[in-house]
Amino acid sequence: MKNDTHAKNVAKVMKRELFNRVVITGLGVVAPNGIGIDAFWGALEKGKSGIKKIKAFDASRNRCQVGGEITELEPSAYIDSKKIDRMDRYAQLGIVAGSMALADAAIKVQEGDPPPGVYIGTGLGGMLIYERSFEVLTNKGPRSIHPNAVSSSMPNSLAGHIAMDLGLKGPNIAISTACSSSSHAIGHAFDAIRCARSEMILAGGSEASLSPLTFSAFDAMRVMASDCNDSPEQASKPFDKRRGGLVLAEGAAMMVLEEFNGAMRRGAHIYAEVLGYGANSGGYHIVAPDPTGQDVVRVMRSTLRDADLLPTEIQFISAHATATQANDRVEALALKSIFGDHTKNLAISCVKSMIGHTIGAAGAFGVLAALLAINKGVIHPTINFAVPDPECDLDVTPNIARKREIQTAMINAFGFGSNNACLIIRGVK
Amino acid sequence: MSNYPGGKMINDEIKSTLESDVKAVIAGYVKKPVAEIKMDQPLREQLGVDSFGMFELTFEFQEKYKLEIPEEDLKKMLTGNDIANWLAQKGKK
Repeated sequence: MKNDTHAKNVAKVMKRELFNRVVITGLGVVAPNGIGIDAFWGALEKGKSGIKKIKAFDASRNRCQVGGEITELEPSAYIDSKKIDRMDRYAQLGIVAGSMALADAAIKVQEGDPPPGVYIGTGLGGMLIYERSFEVLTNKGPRSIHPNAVSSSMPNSLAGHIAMDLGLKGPNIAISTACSSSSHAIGHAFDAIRCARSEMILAGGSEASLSPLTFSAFDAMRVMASDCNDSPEQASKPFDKRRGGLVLAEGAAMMVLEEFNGAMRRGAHIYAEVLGYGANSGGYHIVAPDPTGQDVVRVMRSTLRDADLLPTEIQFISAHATATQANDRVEALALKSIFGDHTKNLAISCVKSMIGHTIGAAGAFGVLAALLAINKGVIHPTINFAVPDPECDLDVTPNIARKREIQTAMINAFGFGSNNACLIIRGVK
Repeated sequence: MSNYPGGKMINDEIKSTLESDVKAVIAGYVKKPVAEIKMDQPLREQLGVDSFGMFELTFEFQEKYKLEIPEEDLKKMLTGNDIANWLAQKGKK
């Protein structure tokens, strides 16, 4: 036992010596309840929902008719008019959020510098263009398909546009693992920097899922909330006993990750340090979670190990919490299993209660919400919480934000395909 | 005359309409004012339309005039005049 402890301590020291520290130095966000970090955080703090009756298309025949739609953004104000037509909406949202993150990090990409990389998570890619192309194929035939149909619908189109438009010519990666996509993107960016393969990476996720086929396909799975079509803001109810399913949303959350010493040298503002990343699969079902939650326990445990932390050192959980009956039950079970008595000390919150489920961008939104909570000393609420579920007996910061200084946060993201990702970040004093 | 070709005769009036249509489409594609587009300007060298861009640009004409431009004709289109002439020829048939 003694030798075991010694070996672990040696491993910790070696890890510290071998691996670079990775910090987050720039943020950008386009969300249904706020454009830009200040507006987004203002909305989270106030518990302001961004869920609305869908205007993007005629959803009147769908079971669910509400979504996290971004109605106050004019992408052409941010994107060159020559390029905007070649981008799907998800890429437009991602470019806007990415530009904000680079500006926030005060980065000037110069010739001769090691080129920053781009790691983007998206569950669906350019589905709007894909759907429109399919309509053209059906109505007008194959020779009427636009030459840009492939290049604007492929899931790495955003990563490519960022490299071209923002001048980031390092590794250019798109990760598509449904709802965990952007957590993996951030995790892989973290790995690349700590292993010294890159010095700086723009990472995050973007999704634009409010297109007729995509939306209706989710609707067909009966996973979406259809009980609040006349009261959209109350539709997303994570961990509440009345929860009726997820609310699909569009949005993009981006952040600049960079090597700690480089960030210090250039005097960057450091929001947080990334401490750990874990990934696994339940190998259980293509959409349903393993009811035992063992895979979720494993991914959280491996992330704690990666971060060299004990469960008792975690203070905040940005829960995946989609607001489906099964997912929230399993996440609550897994949290209680791994945190035991410490669960009651945890601040837990669910950003999806306000913005809905941004699928491939959801993990990055979770990281952003946790990081802002650390920096502001305030835990944003889980809104629409009224009826506790005995199976989800967690303190989810119901309805009203709470002042609390926290340093260390865990962010969960679980995706279709039995796919799990977990990240741990810590404030830098 | 948005749906040219409609007539059999190619007179000056039709040619002028066709030219202004072609200019407008090129201007829209390269995001420049119509006044800056010249019909004899090389699309590739002076307006930055690369080979993939030619597919995109000619796609606009195909959609506008409900025509299909064969690959061998596409390769010969180097200026706005070439496009207008092709459309005029097509209208003649």
